Amino acid sequence: MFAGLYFVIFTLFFLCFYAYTYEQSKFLQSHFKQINIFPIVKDSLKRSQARYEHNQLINTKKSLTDLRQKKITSDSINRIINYDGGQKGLIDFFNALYDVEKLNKGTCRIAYYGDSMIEGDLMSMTLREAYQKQYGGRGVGFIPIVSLTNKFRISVIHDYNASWRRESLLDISKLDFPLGISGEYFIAEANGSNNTVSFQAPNRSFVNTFPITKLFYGKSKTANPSNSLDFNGTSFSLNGQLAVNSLVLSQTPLKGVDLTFRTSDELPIYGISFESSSGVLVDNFALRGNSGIAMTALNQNILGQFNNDLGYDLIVLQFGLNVVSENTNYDWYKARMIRVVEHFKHSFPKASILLVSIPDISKKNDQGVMQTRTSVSYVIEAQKNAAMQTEVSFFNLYQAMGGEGSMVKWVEELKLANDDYIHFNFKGARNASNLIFSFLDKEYLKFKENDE
Amino acid sequence: MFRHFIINIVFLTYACSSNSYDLIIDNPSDKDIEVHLNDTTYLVYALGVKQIKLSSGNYAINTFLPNDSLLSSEQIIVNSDAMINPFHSTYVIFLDEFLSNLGVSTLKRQNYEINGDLYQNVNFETRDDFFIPKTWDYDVLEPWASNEYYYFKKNIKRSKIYRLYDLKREFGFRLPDEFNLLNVNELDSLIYQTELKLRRPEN
Repeated sequence: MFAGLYFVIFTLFFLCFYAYTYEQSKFLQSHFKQINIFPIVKDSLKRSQARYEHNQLINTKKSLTDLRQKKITSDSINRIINYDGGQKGLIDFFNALYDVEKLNKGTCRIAYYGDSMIEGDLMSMTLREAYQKQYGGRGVGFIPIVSLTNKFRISVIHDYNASWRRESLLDISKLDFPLGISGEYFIAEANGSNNTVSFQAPNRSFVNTFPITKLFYGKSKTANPSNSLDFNGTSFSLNGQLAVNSLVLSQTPLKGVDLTFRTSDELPIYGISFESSSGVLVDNFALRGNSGIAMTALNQNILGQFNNDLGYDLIVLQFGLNVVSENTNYDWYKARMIRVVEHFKHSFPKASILLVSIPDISKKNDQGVMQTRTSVSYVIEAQKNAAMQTEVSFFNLYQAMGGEGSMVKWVEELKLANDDYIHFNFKGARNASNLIFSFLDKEYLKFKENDE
Repeated sequence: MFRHFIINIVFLTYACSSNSYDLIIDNPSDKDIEVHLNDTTYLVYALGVKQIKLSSGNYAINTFLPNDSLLSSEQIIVNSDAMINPFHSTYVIFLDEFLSNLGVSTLKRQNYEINGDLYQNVNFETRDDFFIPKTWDYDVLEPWASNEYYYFKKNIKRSKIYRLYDLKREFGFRLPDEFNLLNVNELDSLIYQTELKLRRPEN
């Protein structure tokens, strides 16, 4: 009887010993089964991942952001390499920017052409701020004498009286003089005493003064005109004999300027430029209703003369809103835009050209649901093909916004665009412009890496 | 009776001390490979593993890519469980701990940089040798257990061996391949969701 009792005690002791040893021994764990002998609940040991989760989320967010950036730029092209020795994508622009950044040499100037999408300095304003913040430069750039959106623009406070006559490339039948760099010219009332225009620098970074003030005007038709300008109380003669005359009005920073023109005959006045002598300068040339194809009406010789003074390094062309329709064949638009790009290449031989696509544009479908217009992708394809054929760079703004359906999101969810589902609001224009800057700056960094 | 008990113990000990070892041949590549081990050939599928048993001893292992080109040719001495690494890829043995509510962490952690990625507060060991003796609990394709249950322990250390790209994915340095198919809008949503998670108090 005692032998049996000993056996039971021994067995129990052995099982307890085994259960305890099992938990301590990797060998037992990997070769034998565990036995549950104790009448108590086991402790649950949990792997705590919280320690890593924060870093995992930060890394994931960064990876997602990088992938998003890659997606945005994957369809955009920077044709740096060109084997026929012609235009080389963005390399001229990057060389100029490099000179500004590393050698503190001169200015790097951007002409930003576009339709209503950029009027009021939308888009270009953010691009200017981003570049001037990063690479230096001050001033709002070239401003036309008369602007349809002067009350709307916040990068300069602009006022003029009603005596001015404005002509633009959108109605070339009325032109008596060559169009200026902005695709416009302005005629002061002959012998009038009230041809005034004023500009005030707003309280915004980088454009809060007018560092250097320059006027651009054309040539009178009469042989001995008597044209003059009263600039902040100082009188200047405007009797230049060139097709494009530039006149430095001030080289000291000003907060505001008042100009009164006195002309004996019709004199085309093109605009005024507020610029620094170094850094990056961005000029906004917006023409509402312009599909882009009319840009060939700008005289190459006149553009060249402007370029001699302004020295452009990058021409941005952002058009296309006004050709979006129900069509799906845009071969004609591609052909016309090729002519436009070639026109600018010849006019600005030392500048890079960047073609920016239309954004997403939405419209109600038959079921009353807003969706991307069918022709959007066709217009973009035409723009992209025009860029490829002319070997200039291309930025796919549509894709950068998020592609199909993104305008609905920008309007309804993100509040970045207007209810017309076409135009950005201020915040949206800033976002869109940042996408372009991000693309350009990323390409510039690649350029520097290759160069250095 | 006691004698029978002792005999059983001796038998079990002998049985368990058999000189047969578990080996895993890992193929982290996207191509199938053939592994010739002495006179036996094993096919290891892309991204797969092959589990084999070997008794202790010396072996010649030749590994071939699908086009019959020789990937590696090695001699190994099998004297423990191990993983065969035909590509000499980098693997990371990630040591972590399981704690009960009363458990106190005793694991030494530090920052590791692997191929430019910084892993913070972790305990890692990197290996890239052909024959990697097994020192981990969870194999490359085996997930971590979420819980372990013990009578007498409040803290236990466990480890898992990772292919480097799996580790990168687990730590967010690499996204799953299917993410490449997402459009910008879908990526925006994911970024937003990640941002929301980051804003939670525990993060």
